Amino acid sequence: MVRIAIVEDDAVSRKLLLDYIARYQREHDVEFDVTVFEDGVQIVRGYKPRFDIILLDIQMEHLDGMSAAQRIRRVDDQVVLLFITSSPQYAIKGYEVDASSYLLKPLPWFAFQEELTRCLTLVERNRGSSLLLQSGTEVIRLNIADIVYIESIKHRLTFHTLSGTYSIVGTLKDMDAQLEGHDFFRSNSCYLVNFAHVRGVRDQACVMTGNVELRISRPRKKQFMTALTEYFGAVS
Amino acid sequence: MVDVLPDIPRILTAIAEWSACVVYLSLYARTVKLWRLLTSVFGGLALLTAVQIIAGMLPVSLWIPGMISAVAAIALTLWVGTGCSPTQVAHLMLRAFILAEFIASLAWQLVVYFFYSPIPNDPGNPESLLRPVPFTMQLVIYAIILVIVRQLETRNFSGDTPFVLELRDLWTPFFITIITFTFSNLSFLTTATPFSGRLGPEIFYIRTLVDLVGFAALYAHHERVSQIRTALELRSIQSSLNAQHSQYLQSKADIEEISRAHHDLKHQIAVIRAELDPDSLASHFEQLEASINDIGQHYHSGNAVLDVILTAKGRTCTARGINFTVVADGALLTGMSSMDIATLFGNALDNAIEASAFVTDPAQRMIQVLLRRQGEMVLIRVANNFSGEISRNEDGSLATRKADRVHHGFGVKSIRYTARKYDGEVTTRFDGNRFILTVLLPGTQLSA
Repeated sequence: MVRIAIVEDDAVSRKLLLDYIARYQREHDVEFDVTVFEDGVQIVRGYKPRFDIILLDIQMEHLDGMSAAQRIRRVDDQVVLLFITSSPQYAIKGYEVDASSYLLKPLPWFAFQEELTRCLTLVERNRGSSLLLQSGTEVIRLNIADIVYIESIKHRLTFHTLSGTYSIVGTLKDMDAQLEGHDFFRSNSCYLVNFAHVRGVRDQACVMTGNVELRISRPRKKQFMTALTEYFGAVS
Repeated sequence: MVDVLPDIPRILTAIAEWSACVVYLSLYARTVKLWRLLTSVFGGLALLTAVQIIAGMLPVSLWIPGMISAVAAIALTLWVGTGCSPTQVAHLMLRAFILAEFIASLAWQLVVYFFYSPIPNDPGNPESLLRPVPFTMQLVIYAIILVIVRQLETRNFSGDTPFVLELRDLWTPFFITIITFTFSNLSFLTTATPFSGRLGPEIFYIRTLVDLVGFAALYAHHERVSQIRTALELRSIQSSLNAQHSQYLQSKADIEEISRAHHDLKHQIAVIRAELDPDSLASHFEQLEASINDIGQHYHSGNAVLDVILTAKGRTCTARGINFTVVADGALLTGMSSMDIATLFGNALDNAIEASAFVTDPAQRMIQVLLRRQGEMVLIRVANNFSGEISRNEDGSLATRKADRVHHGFGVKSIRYTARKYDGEVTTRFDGNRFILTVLLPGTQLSA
């Protein structure tokens, strides 16, 4: 179930959005849980991260969409924001709240459909899957999104995560196969890096969350850059 | 006739041919499926050995057909192992063949010098040179030369870079190969030509030398063609950069002109409105003002050059009914020259606008631009809808539907060329009915 919020002060536009969402559910055989707000003020009051997607009109009377989005972002960095506006110059700053596109009024069905599909793939990606590790007799559950990189030392793997490090017996090759489809990359013989945590690339190293620099082996540099470019192109 | 020296045993010729093939196969190994590689390496060894042994049993009159089958076997091995087009395989085949001739000849010459004591007027016993020590020495010589050649050839052939040699470039290598092969083997067929060697060891030397020169000529030819191609490409990219930049300057002038007109008109309207009775004309004026607002619409991304490009291309999109949306943090481009910004965004948007023209349903014409910070890097993404089939060139790059094929391809090439200046990378991808161009710049050179 995908939870969608609509924040739109104009009754006609609101009706159109609800119609489009109903049509999308019918045509794509998905189910949404839709909540409607009539102004930015309404959604930010006591906001808790409970939506997957928020459709936000930019020009609203009491609290405009961009300001509402900024307040929402303070407590929710996961929700996918999609702006709706009648004039593009207001939405050009969407990057400030991590919105990578917007919809222009009058709202055409095709563009709405395309954007909602794109948002749904982002929601799908955001939904954390986890990894179970056997460490001695203990089983550790790691959130894959929290893994910054995995390091191989001798026959052990060390998981550097946002919450700490964990070590198990294993090989990078097996781990690479197990994490297939999760955008990890073997940057050299002893590191498996999570693309989501790559913050920069300097010469022959990638800079990870937490400012750790990891070496990229020379023959893999080009492939690393291509895969990283592809990854960010797909998740924004 | 002084001495009659033994010639290279067939098995050594086969090993030389096979190892020369392996050198070229190894250059493509990364881009080829494992089964292809293994089939060509092991199958090639069996095939080349079999061909040489069978050819060795044929009478001298069938020597030429024997050689042709050996060359064909090389071609087959290379084709299976690289999956290249026939033209590329032909180039590789000529190269591998002459290389094999050269290493076999050189190693044999040295082994004969060190290990063979000739008996006058006796054809000798070539098997004595297949004993472990001389045999190993030949293999070592092959290995040393092939390692050097592989190093030299990495820049010319690799799975990543497109192959520069074309069908029309095949003539020169073909003749070089024929001439090399003829002159290097002339002395073995007959001594009755002005070019044949008559003294025993010298004919080995002649053969080695001619093969070396032949290989060097093939290599030099390849270098030359590469150089010419690179120079041509650079010139085209340069002219495309210049075109984008002058287009940018033109748009800038146009937009300034319009802004001025916009400002003047607004001012005039205000004046007229003050003088006349507002009731009757108000709605009319509002309409007028709204239409003028459209003209004056600007993008304010935080980078003046980008704003001009977005405004100019945005107008084209409006005129063609393309749904154009931009999310852009122009401030990220501070450290980039205006020419580079014009190239990146101008080319990307031109391509996107052009592709949109092929989308028959106007509602489906969409272009989305994204420019944002990604950690300490800069991400640029231009996505557009397309319809119909997209064809790809032989090397996997995009083929254009435009009549001016070569020039259009330089659009993406110019973007890549510019991105590389900032250590960046460019990818293109089809996702359903969307075409997505992504540029990732590490940003270390942009933070001015």
